[in-house]
Amino acid sequence: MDCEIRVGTSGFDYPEWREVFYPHELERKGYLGWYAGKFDTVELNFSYYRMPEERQLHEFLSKAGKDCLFSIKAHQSLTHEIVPGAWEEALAQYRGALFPLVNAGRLGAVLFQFPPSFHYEAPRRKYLDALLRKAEGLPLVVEFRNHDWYNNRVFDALRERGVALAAIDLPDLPNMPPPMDLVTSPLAYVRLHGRNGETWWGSDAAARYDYCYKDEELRSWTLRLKAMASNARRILVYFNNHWRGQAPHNAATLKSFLAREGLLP
Amino acid sequence: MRREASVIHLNVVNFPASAEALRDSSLREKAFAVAVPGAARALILDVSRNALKEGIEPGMRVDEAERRAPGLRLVPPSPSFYVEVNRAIEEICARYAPLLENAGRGHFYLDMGGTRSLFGAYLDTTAKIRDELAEKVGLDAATALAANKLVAKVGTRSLRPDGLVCVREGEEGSFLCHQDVGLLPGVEGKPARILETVGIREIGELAALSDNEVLGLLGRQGPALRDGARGIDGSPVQDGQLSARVIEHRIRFDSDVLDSDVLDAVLTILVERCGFELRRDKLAARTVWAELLYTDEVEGRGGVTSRRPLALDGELIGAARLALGRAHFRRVRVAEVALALSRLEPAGLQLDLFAPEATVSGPLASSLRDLPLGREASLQEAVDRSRRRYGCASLTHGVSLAAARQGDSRHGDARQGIAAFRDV
Repeated sequence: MDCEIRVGTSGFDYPEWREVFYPHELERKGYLGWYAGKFDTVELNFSYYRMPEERQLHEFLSKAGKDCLFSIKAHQSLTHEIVPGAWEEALAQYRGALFPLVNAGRLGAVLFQFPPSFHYEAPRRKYLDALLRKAEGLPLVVEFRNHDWYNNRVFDALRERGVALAAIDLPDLPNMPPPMDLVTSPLAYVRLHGRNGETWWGSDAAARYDYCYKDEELRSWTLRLKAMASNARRILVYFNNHWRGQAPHNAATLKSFLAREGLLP
Repeated sequence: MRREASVIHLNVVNFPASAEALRDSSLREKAFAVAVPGAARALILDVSRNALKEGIEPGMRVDEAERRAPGLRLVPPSPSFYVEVNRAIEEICARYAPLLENAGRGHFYLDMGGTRSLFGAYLDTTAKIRDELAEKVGLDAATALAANKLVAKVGTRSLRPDGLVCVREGEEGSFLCHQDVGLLPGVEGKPARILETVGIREIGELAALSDNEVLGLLGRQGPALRDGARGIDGSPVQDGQLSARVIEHRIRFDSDVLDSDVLDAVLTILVERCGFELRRDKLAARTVWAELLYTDEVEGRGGVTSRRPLALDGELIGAARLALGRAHFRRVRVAEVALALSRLEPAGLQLDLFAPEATVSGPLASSLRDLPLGREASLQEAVDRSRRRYGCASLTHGVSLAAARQGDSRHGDARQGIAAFRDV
């Protein structure tokens, strides 16, 4: 198969994973090294809240062995709290911090996750166009939480720019983006957030992502990834249902299903 | 608990080119076009994805395509093989869908309603079908799951060339809203030009028009198009696998008939009716049956099977006359005549639009036997267009008019002569 598939989790530094995923005696500073022994990619989310720094990413690289790929979420000043005239500087700072990952060939993707309030309107379209141009050269992924971006013009524009559209697995709730697997670049990107519709709105992050995928749901994803693999060179899959260590549990199960299909070694 | 969307549209984009790549694996990853080589003013019938990237499009003249993409490989069409591939897809779909509509040329609608307990969530089943299609046939398809056929079709069109989308029930309007209006079935030709002129680019803009506005803009078809833009579509998935479908029409005489000219006239009318339905559904038939009910209730039946698919009235009339000859074995008055078309299959390509102007002789002629001749197909399309607008009886062969009048002398003019035959 020409497509490489990597499976991991969104974040790795969760104290509640102790005993569920990390051994009891393992110190927190050893988490990444342990994680990298189980999974060959991780999505870093801290960068959404705090601008990443080169030093930090260097440290991650040194802890994560030689093979682990890092995907990294864009800072909120680029997706949620955009200040006209200031975002270019924020992007430059953010991009500069990624240097260690880029230099080591270990940057999987840069994820721009936009909020539901980011509507398909002319000023937002212009912003997105400018953002993607400025970030050109990086492996880019966009994730929309608003369904009005899911139209053929956006798909064509992403294809032209070689930017991936994140396929997202969410609860079946009104006004959520439609489930969609569409490969718009050599990189395909999948995020599984869990399907807990009861706690999705109006609860804390822990409750929102409290969901454990059933085997049949992961088998279905195996087939969907297989289909995506015929059009992509690399697929990165991340489980974000991090509560109580369900994400690494599901990621391991998916890896075993993919291996059975011959999609993983 | 919301209802689950249960209608799947499977769309093998660039179906002829995709099928050609199955036949010849060296074509994969290559820019090539399906076209009739050697035909005067030949046109591109279909293109591979890589050719599409080089700006080659179906309908383009071959010489222009070759100028644009020097070294473009041309592959002659193989309609019979396309039928085989289409049948293989149908077999996979039929294993899952209680209701299956084979719309031809790699398009299938599946109504999965009621199969959840059997196969699991509809989205998961959609993924399974897509996987089987890739594993067993070797084709990718744009696939959409929605509450109705129209929304599912817009879904696959928005994804082209492939991908998977599920439009949840109740969210049709929001999904359609920002799609290009040209993706909406029915928005082509004149309506497309009108919408472009008034600056309507998105489906949501059409959906927002009132009855009066849309009537003024698009005429009588306006409200239906507007409703479609709102995601409203009541058309059911037409059940029945294509191979089991039969198109049949029959006519019973007011007074029983002996005159063979009158029988021939009636046969012509039946061919026109069956053929109109056949082409409307973009199908072709391999077998033509004629059935007579004699005045003493004895039945006569005769059939003809063609090696190539028949679609045009001219082709069908020849086969129908042979079939009638086999059914008409008694010198007894006839009370009723029926014509049936079976062994249906999707018309291989939309060659009525792109057919070569002239026939080709020599070694390529055999590969062209499956193709309707361009001029005859063009004429048929013009006749069908008129029939769609004014009714099937609005244009008919002269022989049927003359004989029909002769067959029922109570009516003075030809149109009334046709009316004297009572449909059953």
